[in-house]
Amino acid sequence: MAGKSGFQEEALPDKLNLKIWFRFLALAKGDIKHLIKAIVTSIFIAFIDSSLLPLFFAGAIDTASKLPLTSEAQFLDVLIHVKFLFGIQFDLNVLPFFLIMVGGILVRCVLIYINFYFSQIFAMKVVSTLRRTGFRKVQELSFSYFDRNSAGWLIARMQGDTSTIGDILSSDVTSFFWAIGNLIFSLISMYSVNFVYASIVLGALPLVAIMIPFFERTILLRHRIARNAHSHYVGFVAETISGAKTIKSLSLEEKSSAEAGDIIEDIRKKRVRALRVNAFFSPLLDLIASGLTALIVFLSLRNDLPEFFVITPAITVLFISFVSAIFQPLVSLSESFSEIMAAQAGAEKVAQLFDAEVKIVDSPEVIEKYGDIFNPRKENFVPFKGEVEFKDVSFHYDNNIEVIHPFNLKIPEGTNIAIVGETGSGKTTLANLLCRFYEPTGGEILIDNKPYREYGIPYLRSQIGYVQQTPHLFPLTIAENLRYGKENATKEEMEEACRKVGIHDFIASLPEGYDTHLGEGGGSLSQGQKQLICFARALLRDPSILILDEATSSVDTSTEAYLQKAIDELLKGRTSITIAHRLSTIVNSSLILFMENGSILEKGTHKELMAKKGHYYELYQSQFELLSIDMQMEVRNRENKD
Amino acid sequence: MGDLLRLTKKAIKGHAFLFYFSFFLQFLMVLGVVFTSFMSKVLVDALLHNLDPATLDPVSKLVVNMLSFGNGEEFIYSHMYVLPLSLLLGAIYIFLMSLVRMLSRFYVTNAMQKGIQVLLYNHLVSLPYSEYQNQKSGDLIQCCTRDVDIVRRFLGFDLNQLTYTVFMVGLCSGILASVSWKLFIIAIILFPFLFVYSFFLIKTVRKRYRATDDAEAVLMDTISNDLNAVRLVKAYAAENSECERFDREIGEYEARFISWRRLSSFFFASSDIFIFLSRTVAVIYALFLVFSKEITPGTAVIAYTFVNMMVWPLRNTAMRISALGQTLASSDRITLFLNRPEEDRLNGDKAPFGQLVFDNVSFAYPDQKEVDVIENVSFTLNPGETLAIMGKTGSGKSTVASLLMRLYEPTSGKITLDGKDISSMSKKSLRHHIAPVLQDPFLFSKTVSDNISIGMEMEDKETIEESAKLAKMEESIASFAEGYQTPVGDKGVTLSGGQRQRLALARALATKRDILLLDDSLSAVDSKTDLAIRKGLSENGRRKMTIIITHRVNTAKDADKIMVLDKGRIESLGTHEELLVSSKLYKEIATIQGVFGEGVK
Repeated sequence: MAGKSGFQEEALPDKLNLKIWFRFLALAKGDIKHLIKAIVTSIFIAFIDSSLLPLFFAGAIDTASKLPLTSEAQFLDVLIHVKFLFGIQFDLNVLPFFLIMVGGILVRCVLIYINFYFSQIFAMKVVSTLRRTGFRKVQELSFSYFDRNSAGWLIARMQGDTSTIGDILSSDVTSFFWAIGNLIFSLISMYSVNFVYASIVLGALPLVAIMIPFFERTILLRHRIARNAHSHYVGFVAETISGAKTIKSLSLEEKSSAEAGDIIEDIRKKRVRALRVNAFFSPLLDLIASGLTALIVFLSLRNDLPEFFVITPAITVLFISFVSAIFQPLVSLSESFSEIMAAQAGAEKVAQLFDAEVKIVDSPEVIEKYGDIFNPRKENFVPFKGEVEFKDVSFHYDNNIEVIHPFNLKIPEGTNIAIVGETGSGKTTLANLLCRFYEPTGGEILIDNKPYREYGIPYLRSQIGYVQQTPHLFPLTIAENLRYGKENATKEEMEEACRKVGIHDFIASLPEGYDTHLGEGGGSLSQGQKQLICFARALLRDPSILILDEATSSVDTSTEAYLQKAIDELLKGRTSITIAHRLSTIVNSSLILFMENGSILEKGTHKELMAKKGHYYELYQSQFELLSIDMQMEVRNRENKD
Repeated sequence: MGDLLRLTKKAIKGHAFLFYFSFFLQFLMVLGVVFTSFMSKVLVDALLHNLDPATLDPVSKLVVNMLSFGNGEEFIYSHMYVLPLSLLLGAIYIFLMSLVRMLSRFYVTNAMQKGIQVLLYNHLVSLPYSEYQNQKSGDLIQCCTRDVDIVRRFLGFDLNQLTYTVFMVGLCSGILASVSWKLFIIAIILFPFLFVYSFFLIKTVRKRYRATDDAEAVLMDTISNDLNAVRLVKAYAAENSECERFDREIGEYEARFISWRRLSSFFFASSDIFIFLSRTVAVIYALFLVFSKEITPGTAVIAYTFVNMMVWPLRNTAMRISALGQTLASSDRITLFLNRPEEDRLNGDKAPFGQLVFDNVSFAYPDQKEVDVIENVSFTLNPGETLAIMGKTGSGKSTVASLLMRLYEPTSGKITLDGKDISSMSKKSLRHHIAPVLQDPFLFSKTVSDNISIGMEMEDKETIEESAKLAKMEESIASFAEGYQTPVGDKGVTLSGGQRQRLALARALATKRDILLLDDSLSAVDSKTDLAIRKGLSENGRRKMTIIITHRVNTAKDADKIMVLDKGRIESLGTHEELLVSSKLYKEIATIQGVFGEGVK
């Protein structure tokens, strides 16, 4: 079934976009010295590998073929004749020759170290810079950005794309210079030795230079397809595990196995298809090189050719070694080019992230007074009284469809408001507006009789507490999580907050108490316990205005009961807006707003609205039915209390 | 090590010929490579007319005989073109050998990997349900994907690397030793050092690499956590502290990266010394031997090329062998995983369908044996009847369903179907009688249509649509962009809780199985739709048997029997009317719901 479903491969771009690569290079200009070290050393290494060592070895072989010179001579007196670049020739005794060789090898070793090390360090610096910049950018971006771009998308940018960019800018750039250096030094060496054979080798290069990119591109594309098929399989296995109960109870094992078989076969086919190209590629290159070798040997053996075709055995051997190595730089150039092309789309997406517009910004005067998110001037933050007023507030997203119609509402200090309504009625949008995640497109929100824009983002948010639907804890210690509420909270403050919401005893019972590290997703804590820690976090913040986005999903009854108790504690004595799903919260609110399609249709206390038998009444009834039996009982109790 | 070998054996099964054949081809290829390299020596000696059989080593003699068709060195001196010709033929031979070898190797390793993967997946899906809850899902996924990949790398790559090195070093040293044993000893004198040095140093490099990798994982966790909690970070104005934390973690990562890279660069740079030094020493010593007339100048050439051909694979092999620990760990995990007992789904009698009886059934979870989740539950349900189970959270309602499906086995008492104990039946045939709809239904990331048809014996469009209609899902489906072909989940439509439940209901209905088991499965569906669905179900001809676990009196009241559970025991069992009189709990629930619901008549 799934085996058939093809993957939409992202096509390779047609054109190289150099601008984008230079842009990222410019971003890392502070570390460019590392790259320069890597490039310079790679050129020297190319020189040692393709000029110094081969020519010296050729000298040694050449000398060997003429030995022995005289029987009474000492081995150490033997002169080794080296033909170096540009026709420079010199003779060396065995000992200096050996020392120069060893010296060359040691220098090469140092160069290799510098080259490897600094190209890696540069790659790392680029990646770090990109990630740091991206992370900061994400912090600045307004909320609307995250509506359009999923967390998964952003993670992919920050993880894979940045590290690819780092590799390209260091490894590929370095190997580009290495390859060019290698080609040039090889050609110079060959031409220094014999121009006829050098020209033959040079003549063969274009042919190979056309063939290599064709192979490289095919290999890249096919391996990408195979990799995708594999990641599809990873997803499939994950689904098998999370859907185990369904698979077992519907008895789908055979079907799943058959499907897995299809997917695995699909991977196998795609892998073999990709590897088939590999199987042809390098043997073919070797074949061409060997053909060229045979040709050179053939020509060097003819004695009916002009004099410049005549070379010594040592030079023949030298050419054989050049020919077998000369294609390597071409392969590496082509590889780099393919990699750059493959990475370009990702690089463009990273650039998109960097260029994304920050929609909600404070005016310079406000920043002057209260600072920005990275440098808040907390000394100027005076606690709000907590009076909120919506004045003709309306809102629409970029598509101009109004989702909140103009409305007026004044919330006196310390009032607990519940907003109810179906999904999409505008409840959450209202809360988002108040937090200034979005700004009203019409009208104004006033806090303590002043337009809320005048407080600036850091100040406003320092005064608003926000508790969201699904409790979110960071994989840090409990104490560190609590400190999100108050940066410098003391141990006593934390304990007090936890005691108030009723989680202190549990935390204290843990072996490491408040220093217990919470793993991914909160570790072994239950959903309810996590929520309570979130409540304590909000409580520590002691906000003048609290926004509570209640969870829709049901938790077990006893949890529900103690959560409700904690909520009561949380709402006590402050202005609060609850996007309410728990009837137990709603029935005790001092004011209930019923929203539908962006308008407030009904407003009043639970009793008033029930008596009215309107929208709220109906909603209440249908909600009530969905409750578990235990919660129905709990709600009844609360209603009677009122 | 034993595990790896056993696993390798298992993987080779069925592919043995091609597997071993690819190694044979590799040998033939290496032979070709060594031969053509050896030709350089023959070439140089031929040019210098040094092919005198009296002084020649046996291998060269053999080659000279081959090239001259037994006519001796004079033939070669006068027919020099045989040298380039043999080079060319050698090249074509190598090309064909490596091509066939690589094709067969790639083919066979991937076929072998497929075999292991299929084996593992089939095992995964055959594990009993409790295993899924005991294992971390990440570990299971890793075992079925990454570990298999590592083992494939071993079979397809590491083993080849090893044999390549053995063939290459064996042939080269053999020939070198036969030409001049002195040269041979000097040439290989540094090899053991290279090997040991590489082996141990790369181990430390890998350790540091893992530390770097861990630090990067922390970084990625921070990014994904921050992005997933963007609302929270903004609301708490925690942007700055997030950035500071991120910077700290980047600092930590960079420090580890630097320590790793410093060592790995040092490793490559320093082990190069052995490689280049071996070459240089070999050449200088060869020069000396030529000088003292112990070898021909041609031999000096192969001293250089043969050493070069041996050192690189040697270093790579040392690196791979030092990474063997990882492979062993993977194969251990795979073996451990394969050793977990599978659920026996197929053995047992074929399940009949008939009267369902729970006879004094109790159940406790294995890890909490002292707490009975349900205790002495007994009831009888005849074909055609409907049973409703009600109770508070934790009263054991769902356990009844799990026991019926044999996801768990009762600790005491027995469950019979048509008079036969279900524990004697094959689970597969038993489950083929039951169409369950779970409270929090799992939907597959397939199309709507595929999700509905997944439990059907034979897919047919009519049944799919009919089931969707019965589950009151057709309107929702019509509103999706691609109707029945809309993918569910990440890449398609996101469904609300009620829609998910209704889709799962359609899936169950489409199976046309005898027992419809609804485990609080319409809890997110509003009562109007709930009513309409139930009406549709009863009009659609009575199902053979229905069990409804619910918290709504309105849903339960039409059932033939209502069972009220309280803390795992049956509080009361009877019809709606009977329970209104006899059951305190039921009456209480009905009163609460009666006030606010549609009313109890």
